[in-house]
Amino acid sequence: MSSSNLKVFNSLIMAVAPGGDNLEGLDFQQLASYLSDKIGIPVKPKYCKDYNEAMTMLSDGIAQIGWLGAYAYKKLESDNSPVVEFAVGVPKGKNVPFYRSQFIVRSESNIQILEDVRNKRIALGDVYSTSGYEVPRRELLDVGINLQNEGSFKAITNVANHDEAIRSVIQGTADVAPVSSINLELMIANGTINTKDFRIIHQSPNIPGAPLVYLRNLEKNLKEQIKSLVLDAHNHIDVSGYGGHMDRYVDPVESHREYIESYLRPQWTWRTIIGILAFIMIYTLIVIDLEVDISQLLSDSFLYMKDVLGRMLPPDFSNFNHLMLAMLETVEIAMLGTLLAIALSIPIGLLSARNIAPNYPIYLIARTITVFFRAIPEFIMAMILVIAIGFGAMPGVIALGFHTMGFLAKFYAESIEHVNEEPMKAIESMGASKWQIIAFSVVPQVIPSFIGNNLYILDRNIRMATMLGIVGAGGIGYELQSAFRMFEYPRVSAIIIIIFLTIFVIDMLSSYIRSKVL
Amino acid sequence: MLLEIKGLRKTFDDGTRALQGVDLSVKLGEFVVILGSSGSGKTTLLRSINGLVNPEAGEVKFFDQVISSTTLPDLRKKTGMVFQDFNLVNNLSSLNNVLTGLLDSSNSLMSMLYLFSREQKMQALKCLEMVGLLDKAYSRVDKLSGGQKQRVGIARAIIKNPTLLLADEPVASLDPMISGSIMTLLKNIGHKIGLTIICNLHQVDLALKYSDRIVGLSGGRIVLDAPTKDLDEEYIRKIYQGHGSGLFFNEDDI
Ligand SMILES: Nc1ncnc2c1ncn2[C@@H]1O[C@H](COP(=O)(O)OP(=O)(O)OP(=O)(O)O)[C@@H](O)[C@H]1O
Ligand SMILES: [Mg+2]
Repeated sequence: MSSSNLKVFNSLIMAVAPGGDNLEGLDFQQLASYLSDKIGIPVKPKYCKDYNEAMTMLSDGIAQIGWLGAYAYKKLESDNSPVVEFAVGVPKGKNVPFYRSQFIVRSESNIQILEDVRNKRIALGDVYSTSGYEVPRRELLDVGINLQNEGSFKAITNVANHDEAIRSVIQGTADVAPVSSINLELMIANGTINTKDFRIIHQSPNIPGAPLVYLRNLEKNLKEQIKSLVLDAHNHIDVSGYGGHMDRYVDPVESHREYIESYLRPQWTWRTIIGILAFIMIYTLIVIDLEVDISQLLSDSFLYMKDVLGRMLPPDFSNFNHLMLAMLETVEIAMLGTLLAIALSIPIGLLSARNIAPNYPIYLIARTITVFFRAIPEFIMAMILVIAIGFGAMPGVIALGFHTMGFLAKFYAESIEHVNEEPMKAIESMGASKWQIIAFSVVPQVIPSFIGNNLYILDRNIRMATMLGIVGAGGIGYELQSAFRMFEYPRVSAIIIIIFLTIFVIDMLSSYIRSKVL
Repeated sequence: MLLEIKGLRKTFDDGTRALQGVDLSVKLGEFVVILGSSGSGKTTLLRSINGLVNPEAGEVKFFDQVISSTTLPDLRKKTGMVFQDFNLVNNLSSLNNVLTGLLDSSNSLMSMLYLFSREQKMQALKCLEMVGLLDKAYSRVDKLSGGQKQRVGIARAIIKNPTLLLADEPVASLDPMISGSIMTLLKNIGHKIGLTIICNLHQVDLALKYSDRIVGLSGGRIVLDAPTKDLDEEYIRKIYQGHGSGLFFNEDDI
């Protein structure tokens, strides 16, 4: 349509961006003469001194074909691109068209990780260079170093290409340089540099291969001809390009797909899978060791269950009032025990949270206390207390209080350790004291889990308190045990029903409270 | 017309009249900015489109089809949404967050196990590449910066190839420089995949710079609807005079 479609070229200029400074590493001679032969127009590579020159030659139409870095191509593309990519080279022996940006330092350098690059002398490529500037800029930003800020470094040397960057590190005029893995491998392969002279401290993820491009408004036939010739060239000549000898050139669509594929990883890592398998294996072994026979369990115990249930039903509610009073006593024991646990666990919880404890010994002591009381079952504690202070509610209350204090303190400490510290810092920065910080930033954050945990412990304590009666610590447990002793199974079932209903009501209540407060 | 809204009204339970009769048509491929100060009803309008808010009067037509409870799932399949606070799942990787955009078309059993097909993962990776975050595919999103999180949000919104993208103040939690890059990204992606974008904003400069058309909202009514090329700051300022404040005319106001 436009006049350029009909334009007859005396020669085609191929603008080549600065990938390296020796022909061996950036050689488009053979490809150009192959194209010249086949299309009958001389194709002349023009090696540009910087990316800008190459990009300008293409956007001004002075060059019709070009080789650009991936980033430079993207840059052109986003400004209503005058060019389209048509081939990407696959270096010999690589099989994939991507490469990486690698940060190199001298072997004896004290730079170990990327963070150490700050305040060092760095050699940087052209701002349009993909692996010499753009990708390193992103990598450095990840560790908090701004490449565009000169203050981040002791000195910045601007280099024309990767080869110069590599030399400047080896020769000591720069301490570190991000360079293309292609140039680095090439310089090692041809003996220009020795692997003993430098170290790679960091490398980027894969970078898509640098494309060959042509002008979008070239004649369609010419574009198709150039593309198919280049993609097929490896069958006829030794192709070369960026990185020296090339295995072949591939369609950008294919190389892009491969590039994306190189980022595919299994959803589950091997570590997770091995973990799950180990888990299954351990439990299989346990079931085998305990001689659990599931089929027998199902068939036999079904018969026993039928027998037991037959004896327990119907439930005997004859002394209902008495049972309800005992149930009430159990609930009271649990409530008092829970209150005791809360009262004890607030200070101990605070002291056993790493970020609140004033110092390590106190933290350790607080932790030890919580572990100690968690370790002794309330059952045992209650038995000892019954011996010491006699039958009644008090042994139950104290046993529950101290045992669950161990749990609550641990829960509190954990939720305190997980609070968002940023608001704490904000309040601290405004001059608040330690306790004010706790009151205004820790407490509001842990309130929901505080209430949730307390309700859970109350629920649990009611269930445990029914059992404590068995060792003589008061409540409905005592009734349950005597009913068992007398073989009064209908009464047993009545008691179980009462316990169930009580816990059911408490559960409804606590979820109501939860929904209102949390 | 891709979208035709007529006489939309919404009064919240507490009596707030958030929308008081809004008419709006959006063409395929348009980048429309809905401009308005805080409380002007932008969010309510946007959410009425995909049924997150139920207006008491008026209708929304999508591809000439009136949206009702039966046609809503179809509209939702074809719309993506980007949120002010990103609304990403913090403990998941960027890739898994993007994949959540495909849950409605995934095998439910497999997706419960976080298993996705190779094509789905390739698609997610391509979207991440489009927003420039391929190298962060396996990073947890809570480790990303605000701008990067919003990029993940955009990738998640575009993965199912929507026709319409609803963006509710996508840059309100970001600094001006990052805001510009996110708006550029939205515009470029819109061009690239032929997406219609409706974007809520309260910054006049961003609206003028990136949109094709500006719809000004104030007190739940449309007070301005014109192609961006015919508008300038002065004009918009004049229109909003007397309509309350809260509009940001340039970065110095912020
Ligand atoms: N769920 C709700 N219940 C009651 N009132 C609401 C509700 N949601 C919004 N509103 C009110 O409706 C009006 C419009 O709100 P909307 O969120 O749409 O405004 P907006 O333009 O998005 O504001 P912003 O810039 O602050 O996000 C406001 O007065 C708001 O207080
Ligand atoms: Mg809003």
